[in-house]
Amino acid sequence: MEIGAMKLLAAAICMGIGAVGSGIGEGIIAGKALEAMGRNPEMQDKLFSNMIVSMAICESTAIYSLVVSLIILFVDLS
Amino acid sequence: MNFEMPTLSLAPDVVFNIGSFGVTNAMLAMWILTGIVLLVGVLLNRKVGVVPSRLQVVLEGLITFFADNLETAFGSRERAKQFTPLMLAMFLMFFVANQFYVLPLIGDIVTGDGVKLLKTPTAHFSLPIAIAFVIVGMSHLLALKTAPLKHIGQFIKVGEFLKIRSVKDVPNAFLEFFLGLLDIVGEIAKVVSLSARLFGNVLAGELMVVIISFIAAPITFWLVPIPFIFLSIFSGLIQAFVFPLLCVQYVGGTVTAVQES
Repeated sequence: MEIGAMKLLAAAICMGIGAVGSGIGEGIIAGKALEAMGRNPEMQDKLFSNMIVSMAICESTAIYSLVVSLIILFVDLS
Repeated sequence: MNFEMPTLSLAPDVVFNIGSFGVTNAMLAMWILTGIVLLVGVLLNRKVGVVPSRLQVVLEGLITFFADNLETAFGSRERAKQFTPLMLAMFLMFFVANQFYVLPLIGDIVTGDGVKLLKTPTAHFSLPIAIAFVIVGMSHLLALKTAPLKHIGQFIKVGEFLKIRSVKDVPNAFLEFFLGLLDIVGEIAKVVSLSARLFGNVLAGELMVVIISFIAAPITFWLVPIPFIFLSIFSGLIQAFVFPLLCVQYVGGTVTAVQES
């Protein structure tokens, strides 16, 4: 296989597999936060900001794979 | 209308040199943005009053937001007051810097050599990693200042060996020792994760708009990326909030772990 084709494949696999975990994690966070908000609507503001922060932390693995795949695509490592 | 795919580069280009020190376009943009934030701050400070203007209300809300977060992280009002300006400045800087490419035309100014004059500063890895390094380093210096031996003892847990009373405790002590060593790796990972998060989000937002407007049909190339521009503005805003909040958590966690007996 050519190196160019290999690079494209590597970037796609990296991003695809890397996004799975953080997608599941963010879904769980959003679901739980909505549940808590529904149970106790007065806490909504505090819960929302905490939800955003924890979502951003969960997102980081996907962002790492994104950075790696961007480096594979756009940086000439050879 | 036919236009070429713009060249995408992760490394910023050098615009001019001061001695042997190359000034890149990302640095230049950061200096200008810092100047703008400073100017707004100074102008606003002049008009500050008991009856607040709209911008003053927004900024006061931000100050109380960060002060409250810092107070819960540190557990003391004085420490929170010390750190509020730093975190707020970081938020304002990233808030402006993340939205830099939304400014029309400014990103397209090209110098004589064909080098872009200005580039989104946070889409260059040096800025986030430098700030993350400073923040994590600062938290460790503060912890070392308050209780040096205790802070080092959290990572190199020799104390666990002294607690051994019977043979049963030996494996536990070794486990604790290696967990302490792993925490050192965790501290390095903090720097990487903080910086890569901001860098990745901003760069991805920017590249997504570029790529989407490239693959759209020629007539609608200005219409199609609008939702993606909204998305990247939103993620830039979220990241500008999240970065200082995570810094608060890291600094607060490291410092209070040493303080409590």
